[in-house]
Amino acid sequence: MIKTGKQWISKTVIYAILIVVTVIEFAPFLWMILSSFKTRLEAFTFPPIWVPHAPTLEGYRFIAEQFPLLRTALNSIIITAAVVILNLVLNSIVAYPLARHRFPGRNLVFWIILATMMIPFNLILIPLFIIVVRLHWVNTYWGVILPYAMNAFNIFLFVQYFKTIPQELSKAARIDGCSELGILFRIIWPLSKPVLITVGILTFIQTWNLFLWPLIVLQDQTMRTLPLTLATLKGVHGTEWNALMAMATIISLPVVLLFVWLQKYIVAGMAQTGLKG
Amino acid sequence: MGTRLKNLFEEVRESKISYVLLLPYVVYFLVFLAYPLLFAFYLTFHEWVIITPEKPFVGLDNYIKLLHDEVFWASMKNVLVYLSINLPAQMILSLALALLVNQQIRFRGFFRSVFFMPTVVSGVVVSTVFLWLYSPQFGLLNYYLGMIGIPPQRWITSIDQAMPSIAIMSSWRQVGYFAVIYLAGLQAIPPVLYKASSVDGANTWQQFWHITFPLLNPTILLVLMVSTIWGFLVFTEPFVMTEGGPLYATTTPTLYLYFEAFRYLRMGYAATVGVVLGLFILIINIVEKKWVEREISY
Repeated sequence: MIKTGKQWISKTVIYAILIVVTVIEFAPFLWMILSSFKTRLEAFTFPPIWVPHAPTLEGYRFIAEQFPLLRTALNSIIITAAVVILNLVLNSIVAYPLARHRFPGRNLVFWIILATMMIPFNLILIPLFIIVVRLHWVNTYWGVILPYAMNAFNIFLFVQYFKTIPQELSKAARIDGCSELGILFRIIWPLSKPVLITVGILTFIQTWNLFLWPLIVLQDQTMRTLPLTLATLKGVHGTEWNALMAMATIISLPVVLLFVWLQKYIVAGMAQTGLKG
Repeated sequence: MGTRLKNLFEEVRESKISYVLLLPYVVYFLVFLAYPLLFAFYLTFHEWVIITPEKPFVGLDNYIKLLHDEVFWASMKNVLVYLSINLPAQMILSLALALLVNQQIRFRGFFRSVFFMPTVVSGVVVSTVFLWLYSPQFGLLNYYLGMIGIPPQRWITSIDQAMPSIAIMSSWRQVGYFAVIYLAGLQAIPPVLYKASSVDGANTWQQFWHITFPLLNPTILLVLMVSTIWGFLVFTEPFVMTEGGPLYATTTPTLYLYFEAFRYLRMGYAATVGVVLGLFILIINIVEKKWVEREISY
């Protein structure tokens, strides 16, 4: 088809707008990354300069000296890994009968699970904290992990996906004497890679970035996660912009890389939120 | 009747394994949802200072106090200020962006991922970066505004601009996320509708109002509800950037709840703030749903 002049103009306008939006959305991150390699003085230069003249790791060294950076990163990794694994295993175990068995009360249970998505976290924040105090889980990994071990939306995603797998496969396995958990993990899981990745990565991003709940539960610096440490760093060294940006870059790197690598699964998962309304 | 009941028993017994598999959620539901929910209401009728052993019953005192609590109502007003900027941005800018990306363009995947990026990055990171961008003396924003002749603004350090500044930042952060949700809604509309209507001579504008808009209504409702809820739950941004100041201008309900509970240790009162906030969110959700449903019922 030959493009008319009018179409050509409208295409140009569309690209122009999209490029402007791209610049606006990306510029703060570019500024963050570039500034993390500046010296403290260079970060203060006004008028501001974007590209550091002599890139330095001064900011990174500063946070490594001021904070137990490795321990903090390890805390973030342990909590995130545990929450991701628990969500994959527990949510799929619960979703399995809901998607593939017929039993009295199935719809009621599914309805209750969906309804719990309506409970705002703030409503139960205080009682949840008191429970954690009573169980002596303050300053422990479990205190952060367990309240996030399951998630209604993830159960929903698993149910939707498990329904699409043919029943004949589980019937054949059952005849061969396979247990229900065996069917789930040996037959259903290998066929459910997309939903496992979607749930895994959405949970990863959510947990890696958690702030309010760990802020309450983890009070010792040795237990704190990366985002908590950035907030502390901002309070104590509010003007060490190169160090703050270095910490911000460290926190962002894993999620951004994961996002770039697996973005089609994230977008698919997020788009599914449209179904829950 | 008797046989039906017997059949049900039979069915339940045969489905034992299904119920066993549901157990993890039953435990999770009881310990981390149902019990805290009931406990929350119990707390609202008590004075519950976490370090003192006595937790006296105070009846409706917490609720009465909340009714006359100027800081709490200021925090609700702050949410309205936030939503007055954030909602139009999410409803209109995100949709416009989604419509543009939905055109036949190259690099659609690239644009989509760039717009989506800010949502996957930690709120603490975004808040810290914007703290610098918004800095009245050293910020990029005032520098570039100065280049086009706009005098320096005080942004988050001024009572009038602090909450709008946070709202602008959140809009910047979420616009791509909602655009992707809109995009999914747009792509679910059957293309045959557009083809048929252009045969009938409808122009792009008419197509938008008579096909896209009505069919997109469930998505619009979803975006409206999600962004309203997020508005009431804002915490990280004012915690990192302003600590609720200047002069309570950015104290959000969640931030207030946090300070009451963990600075002043008034758990009973903080739980009351949480419960009232939760009910507010629920009511607004129902109203929004009713309103949008009425708008589309023609």
